[in-house]
Amino acid sequence: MQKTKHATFWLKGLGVLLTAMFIFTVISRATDSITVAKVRVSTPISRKIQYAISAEGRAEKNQEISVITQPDILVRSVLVNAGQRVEKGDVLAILDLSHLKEQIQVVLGEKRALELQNQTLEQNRQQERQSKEKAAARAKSDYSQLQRRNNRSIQKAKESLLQAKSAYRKGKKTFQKAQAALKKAQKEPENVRETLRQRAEKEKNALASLGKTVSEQRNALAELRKTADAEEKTAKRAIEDAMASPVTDHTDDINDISIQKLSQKIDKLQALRDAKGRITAPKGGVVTAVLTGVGQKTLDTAIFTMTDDRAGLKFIGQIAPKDAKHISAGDTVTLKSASNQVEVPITSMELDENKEFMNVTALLPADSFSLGETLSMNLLQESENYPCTLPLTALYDDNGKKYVLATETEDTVLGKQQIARKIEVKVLEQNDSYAALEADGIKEDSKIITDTESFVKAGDRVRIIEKE
Amino acid sequence: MKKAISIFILSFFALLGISPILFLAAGTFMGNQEIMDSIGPVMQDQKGYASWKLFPAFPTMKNAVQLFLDSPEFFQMFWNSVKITGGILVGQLLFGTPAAWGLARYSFRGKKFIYLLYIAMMMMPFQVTMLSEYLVLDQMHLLDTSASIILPGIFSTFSVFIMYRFFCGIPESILEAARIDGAGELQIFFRIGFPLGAAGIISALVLSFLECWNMIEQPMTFLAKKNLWPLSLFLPKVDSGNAGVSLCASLVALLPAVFVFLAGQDYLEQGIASSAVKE
Amino acid sequence: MKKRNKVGRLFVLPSLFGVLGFYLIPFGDVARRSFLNAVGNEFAGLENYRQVLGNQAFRLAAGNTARFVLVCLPLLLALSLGIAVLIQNQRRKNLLKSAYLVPLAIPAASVVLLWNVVFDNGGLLNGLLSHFHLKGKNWMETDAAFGVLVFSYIWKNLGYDVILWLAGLQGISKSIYEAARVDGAGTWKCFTRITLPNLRPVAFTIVILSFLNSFKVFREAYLVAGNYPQERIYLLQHVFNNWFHELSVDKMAAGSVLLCMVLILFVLMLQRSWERD
Repeated sequence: MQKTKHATFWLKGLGVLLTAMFIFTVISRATDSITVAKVRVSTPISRKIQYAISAEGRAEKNQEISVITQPDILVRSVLVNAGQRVEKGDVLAILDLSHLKEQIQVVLGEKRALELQNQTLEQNRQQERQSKEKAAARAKSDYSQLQRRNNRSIQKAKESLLQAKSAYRKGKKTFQKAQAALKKAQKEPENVRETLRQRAEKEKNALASLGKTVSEQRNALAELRKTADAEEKTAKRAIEDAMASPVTDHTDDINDISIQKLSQKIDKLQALRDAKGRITAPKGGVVTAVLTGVGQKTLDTAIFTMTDDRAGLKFIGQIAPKDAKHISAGDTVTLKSASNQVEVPITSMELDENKEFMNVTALLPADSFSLGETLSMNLLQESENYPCTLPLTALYDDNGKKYVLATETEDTVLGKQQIARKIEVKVLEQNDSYAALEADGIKEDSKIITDTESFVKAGDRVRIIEKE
Repeated sequence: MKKAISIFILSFFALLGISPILFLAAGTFMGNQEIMDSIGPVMQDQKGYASWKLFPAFPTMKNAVQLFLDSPEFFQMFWNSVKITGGILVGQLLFGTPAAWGLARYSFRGKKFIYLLYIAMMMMPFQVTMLSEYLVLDQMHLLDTSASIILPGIFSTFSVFIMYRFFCGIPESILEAARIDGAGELQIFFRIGFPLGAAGIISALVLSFLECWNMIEQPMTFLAKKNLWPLSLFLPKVDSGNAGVSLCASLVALLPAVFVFLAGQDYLEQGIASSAVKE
Repeated sequence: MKKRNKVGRLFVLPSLFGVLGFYLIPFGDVARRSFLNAVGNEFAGLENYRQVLGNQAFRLAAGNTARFVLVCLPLLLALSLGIAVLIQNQRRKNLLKSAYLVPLAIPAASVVLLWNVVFDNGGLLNGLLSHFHLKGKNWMETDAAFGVLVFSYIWKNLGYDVILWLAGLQGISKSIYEAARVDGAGTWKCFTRITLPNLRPVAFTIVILSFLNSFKVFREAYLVAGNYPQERIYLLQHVFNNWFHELSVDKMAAGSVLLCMVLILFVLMLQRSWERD
């Protein structure tokens, strides 16, 4: 009996254990079905990536031309307003005729004044030249005279020097004789010696003074030479000065130019006068700005600006820079207004000043739209056909590396389950909703997760929601 | 003195015997961090030696919660084990018990041969019959089903052997008496054989249970689909992420076996003992 | 009489069918295959057997398995006998018996983890040894792995054998001991002259059963070390397992037949000595 009690106790325990296990089985399965993520999948689609780019813009003037005329003329009347269409030759404004005539006179006077000035200048120049020539001739003859005189003086001085030198030589000889006599007379009595000594002395003194003379003469010669050189130099300079050309003065050339200009101006003014002061439109177009007014003086800048019909209209639209990389000059866009629709190529694209937009410009064909009309630009750009594209929602990012999750049917303890597996991909191209991918692991029939209720990571079990 | 020594020796081996249960019980209530700190040197090639505390420093129910509420795989395998073991036990009861009875109480031509045959079959380790079983199961298209485990298990001759021993021990006289009273052989079997041989039947079943609950080779070889795997194959690699849960799982896995064992312990002893004593 | 005995056959029949169908006939097929080549269409004679016997892995495994059995069995028998004797004289037998039998109930999977923790190079055992300043060994990856396997086997089957011995010991009537003690025999003499001889029949059963259980140790070895464990614990079952996975049907067939024959021989021998007593 002990046995059976013992046994029943543990058997009951086993029963409890099994029941508990059953309960927990149910609970864990319940929580599992809640926690298993439900996902939507899609196989990779082969398609082209499309970029729909649109922009709004206006038909604007393609070119603006300016209408100019002579400045500072009084305007009598202005005949057009901004926005007004004119044909070539239409009168835009009329200038005051009398004022015009006055201006002509003024300019003429100016021109005359300049001409006279030039004349005077010319005459002055002539005179100067003549006087100069005279001065030069005089200086030259002065110089040659001087030269002759100096040569004579120097010659004389040279001769004197020579004389002095020969006197000195003679004196030296005499002295040497006296000295020799003195030496010879050593044995002679004192008074004889004394006499000789004195004579020697005398000769010596004479020699000394002769020597002095020589040096004096020499110095005199040197002085003479110096003076002669200086004088000649001065005389030479005088010649040079006399022959120097006067300071260049281009005033007359300048005046010539001004005269030229003034002539032209006069021509123009005269033409205006002949046209009775009328300013006409050089081309057909629309006046965009009137920059002068009645009673004002014309400017040296444009008095009117207008469009040039011939140059046509252009479209300028703005697109975001990120869209800009999908289109380029040459791509065909569709421009549509309420009334018309054209397809034109893009002429240019450039970054706006604020660097926030790209301005897209396209020339409009003639007569397609009118100035100022609002146009919408649409472009559908298609890339090449990619065999593997998926919605952007399928892409995940892991520290910069992109990946997708593919569901694979795997055999697990709970039977065949769908497990999410990570496949690394490279994004070739993408637009707002799709991306073209390149990846080794994606096959034609791979089921890639495109939508999940909750976060799914690689290795998780998932349940696929079938498409309705 | 002698007594003390013998008590010491006995206790030592006894503790050694139940140490795994203590180990797993402690681990079940430890957080992963604590576990990895303790056995990090083993799992992660850290320096130093592993250690183990009998009582967790920071007990937590986290592992148990995660196992019971968050791991449907565990339960799938658990019920697989229950299915397989139950199937085999029922089968052994149906097929093996009569066989044991027949061999024990009757003598007919060829009985000795069959008896020897059964013993021989009992001796073969799985690896010897692995190939032949596989081929047969393949032919029957039973591979990769639970039946591939259950059917061969039913015809394991070990339990027959144990029951046979017990049935041998029933005195013939009782049977004679019953026959005289007019009972048919089948009635004798049910009314006398079962009750008197209950000990043997139970012990055979318990031993079979232990054998089945821990079966590894057969499921590994014959079952490919993971959702048929029994609990004995639930062998997650223990790493820092799931250490606590796998220890808890191991503990829970052995609980039914231990419960069954404790329930039938006395019968088991008898069963083991009877196979020792000569007939 | 005869009719009744025929009924006996009926009792056995269902089981017999199953055994035949699932074990015997397939095994016959395997035996047939052992004489064919791997694909199964050419007669190969004894070639497969020669291959198997010459196979290095097989030889290594056979050697290991034999060594294992020869080491473990005596060890286990002696140890369990000793403990049985000690338990015999205790009270609280049941508690002890429960504790000893528990290892039988613990699944291998649960236990393997603990073995890993204990025997790893950085495991509990080495930690304990270092405490006593003894150098630990790398148990799992050197030849010491053999010792781990032995330990595992003994741990699991100790209780089983102890119970068996206890049963046997209980069968010896106390009166013989008393008579011997009166004659002045000491404990040791009692043991060798009375206990052991009387345990002989039990011993044979225990040997067979322990031998049977020794094959099961493959489970632990496999769980711990995988398909190709350290050399010393590479057993026959590993060989068969690997052949199976390689689909070397011819080798497996021949090996199975060989092993079977060895085992049958063993059983017959034991049977005869069993009968003799």
